[in-house]
Amino acid sequence: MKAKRWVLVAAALIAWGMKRHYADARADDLGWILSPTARLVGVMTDTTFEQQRGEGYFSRDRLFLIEKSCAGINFMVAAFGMLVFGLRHRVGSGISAARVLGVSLAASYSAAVLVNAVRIAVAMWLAAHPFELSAFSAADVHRFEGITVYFGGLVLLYELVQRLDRNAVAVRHRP
Amino acid sequence: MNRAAWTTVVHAVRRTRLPLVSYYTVTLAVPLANGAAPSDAFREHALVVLAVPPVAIMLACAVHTTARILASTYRAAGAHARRSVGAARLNRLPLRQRWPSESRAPSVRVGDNPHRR
Repeated sequence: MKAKRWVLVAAALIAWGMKRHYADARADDLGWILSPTARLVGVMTDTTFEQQRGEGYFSRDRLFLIEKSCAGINFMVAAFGMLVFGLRHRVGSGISAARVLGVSLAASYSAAVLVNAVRIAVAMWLAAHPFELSAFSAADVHRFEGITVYFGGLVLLYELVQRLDRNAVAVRHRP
Repeated sequence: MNRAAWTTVVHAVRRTRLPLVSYYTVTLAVPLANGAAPSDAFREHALVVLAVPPVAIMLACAVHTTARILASTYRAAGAHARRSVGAARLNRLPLRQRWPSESRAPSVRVGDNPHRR
């Protein structure tokens, strides 16, 4: 019981640290997440992104900038919190607590890079194929797309982890 | 919305409550705690953030239910077609091949009750 509480406190502190880092960081400081995201978006859209000092990653042929606000840190924080909370039943000791925190951090980072790359690729496609909807502006469509992809990514990640967790429990209890 | 559709949506919301709570926490609760409430732009953004995930869940439920209905219809049609093709093939065979153990067709037909004879 105590270990579970401590793991939630540690997760809250890590999430707060990530948000703090994100608030103070410049685009160059977020290379650890922007760089793989830009590379993945480049593969998905067949585009080359170059690093622009202090701005982010820029594609000259598409005129598209992946800047600090596109880093996906909020998604990573949400995914990390969700995974730690969802896997807290696995915490029984200090080692298992560290394992849950480590797995949640690694999974949330990977998911953030992947989901964010999908979101940016879809946004680039929408920018290249604008469609007129009388009620919504291009900014509104971009916002809807971002919310849908991020929330859908969280749901898919949660379902995947729950399934893996159930399979692991089933394997452990198999005679 | 009928009762079955409503049950599906409620089940989906229950299933996605943790992603929903974590998403709302990061996108709404944290900025609110940092004093974002008075801004009109944030209020508008918050309304969209609150509304889109439940709408996305409902749309996903609708797509899932439609796909399930289509799949079961397709399966039922496929099974019916297989039964029809099987019966037609059986009818084309001579009697000896239909029931190889007997020289004639069995005296009991499908639907007959042998105890009543």
